[in-house]
Amino acid sequence: VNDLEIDRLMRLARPVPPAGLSSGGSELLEEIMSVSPKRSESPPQETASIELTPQLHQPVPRPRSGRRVLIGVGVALAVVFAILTPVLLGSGGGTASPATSSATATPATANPFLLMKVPGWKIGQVSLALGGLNGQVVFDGPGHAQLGVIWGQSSDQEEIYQSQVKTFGKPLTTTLFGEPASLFEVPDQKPYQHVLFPKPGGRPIGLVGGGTDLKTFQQQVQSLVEVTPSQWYAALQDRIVATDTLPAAVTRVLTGVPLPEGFDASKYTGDLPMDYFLFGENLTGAVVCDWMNTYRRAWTAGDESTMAGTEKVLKGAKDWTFVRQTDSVPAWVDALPPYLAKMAARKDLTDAMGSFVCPA
Amino acid sequence: VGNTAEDAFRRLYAQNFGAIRNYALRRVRRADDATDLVAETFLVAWRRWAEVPPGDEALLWLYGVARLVLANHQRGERRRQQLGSRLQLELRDHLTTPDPAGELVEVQAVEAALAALPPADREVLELTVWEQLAPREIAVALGLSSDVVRARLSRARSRMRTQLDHDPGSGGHQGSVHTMSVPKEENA
Repeated sequence: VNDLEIDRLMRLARPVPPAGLSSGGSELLEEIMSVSPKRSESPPQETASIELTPQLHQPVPRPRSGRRVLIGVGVALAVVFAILTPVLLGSGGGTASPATSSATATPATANPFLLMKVPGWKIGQVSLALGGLNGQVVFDGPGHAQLGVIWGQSSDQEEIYQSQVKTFGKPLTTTLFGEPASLFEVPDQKPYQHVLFPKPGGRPIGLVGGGTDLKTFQQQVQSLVEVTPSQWYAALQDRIVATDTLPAAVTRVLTGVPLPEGFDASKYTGDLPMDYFLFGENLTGAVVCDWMNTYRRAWTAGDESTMAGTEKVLKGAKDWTFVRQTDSVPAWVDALPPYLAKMAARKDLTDAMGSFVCPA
Repeated sequence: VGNTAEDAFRRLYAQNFGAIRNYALRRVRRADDATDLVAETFLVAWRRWAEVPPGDEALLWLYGVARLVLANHQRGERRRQQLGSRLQLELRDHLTTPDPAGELVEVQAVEAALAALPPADREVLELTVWEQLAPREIAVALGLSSDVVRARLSRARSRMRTQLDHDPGSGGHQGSVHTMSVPKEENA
């Protein structure tokens, strides 16, 4: 079998219609252009879709809340989150870097600080972004049971509610943390068969779970208890970087990382709690950026020795301890190769840096 | 977004809708998933309009977005935008098109061989054959170097040939085999 035959069979395997804009495509265009929530405010706003930008054009260190938030979580939770995310994240003023977050002395968070106080349940996936202003925790229970908790800081509960009604139909009325709440049923989406939200105007928390029936879900919800922030962070141990664990986290992330002369980690670390991965991704990304700027200065000065040294450091960046020991790969790892190629050829990076977002 | 940007987005959409729709159709099996993929890809472009590169690179940028949307989809993380109901109906009609008669066995063999490829190699081969992208273009879309893309493509083609030559369903007929040099893969 030759390549041409393989190509022909591949195309035969997945036939597609002729190119062109169909009526459905035209309708979708109008829907998209009417959906943009900040349409009247020039350019389109960043939303949870931030992680969907090709890495070459928006490669580096930014909190990528949406991506990790959803990993390993069931479909219904994703559905709920898809509805919530543009509202909760969009209204929070877009993304924030650790540098900007640090301007706030007192941690502000919409985190409800919930734990499940029943045997057999533990905290599974945790995702905090924007210093905890929005996030998600998934509790893992016996079997494959899961209960997801989502929170944000939007007051635009009406939009969430209407989206839920549109997606899941008319809800049942119940209570959540003493407030009137809406319970939506999601058929055929085990283990996330139920979605619970406060009524519009209530606290922006969503609960998703259910197992096999409504009674199970109610039992799960009733087992949630609110604890103090310190108790909550203690339960997470080292998975969250908070004020008191910040120095240790900086040391841990930068273990084995060659630092450019004058690199100041404090410029890139704030006072707000962050997911450890996001924290480390930002901090190591800042180091990479600093090295790239070092290369640019050396290129301008014709300093071959520094250029060679910088190239060597960045070639080894994918093997830094933080990169190897976390379960996700920082965005800058995938974005770096084209820059390394330019360095190897001793080319200027100035033009390319326009698409490499470095921390301020 | 001013009128100029809106007009430009409409042009971008009109020029690239078919390509992104076909990208989706070839990679998911359900009309609602394909619709989600198309809708989410263009929604990202609309919201991040300022970052969409001009000219031919816009399509590569869109492919880059689409593959990440797809990756989310494959992790069970679909974002149902509730958009494109008519498009969904259109795609449903298309996805129920009968399989090509007469060559079903060969097609199935190719499908199986594709499925057996490492994901990174398969993605490059699919972009080459289905989207007809050159290695340089794939490199842009995936954020890789062209050398890495060429290495993956060469490896994928080699494995496909090997797999199909040993698969009785493929017919086993031989033809002229074009190969390319295999640069050492770095920074994959």
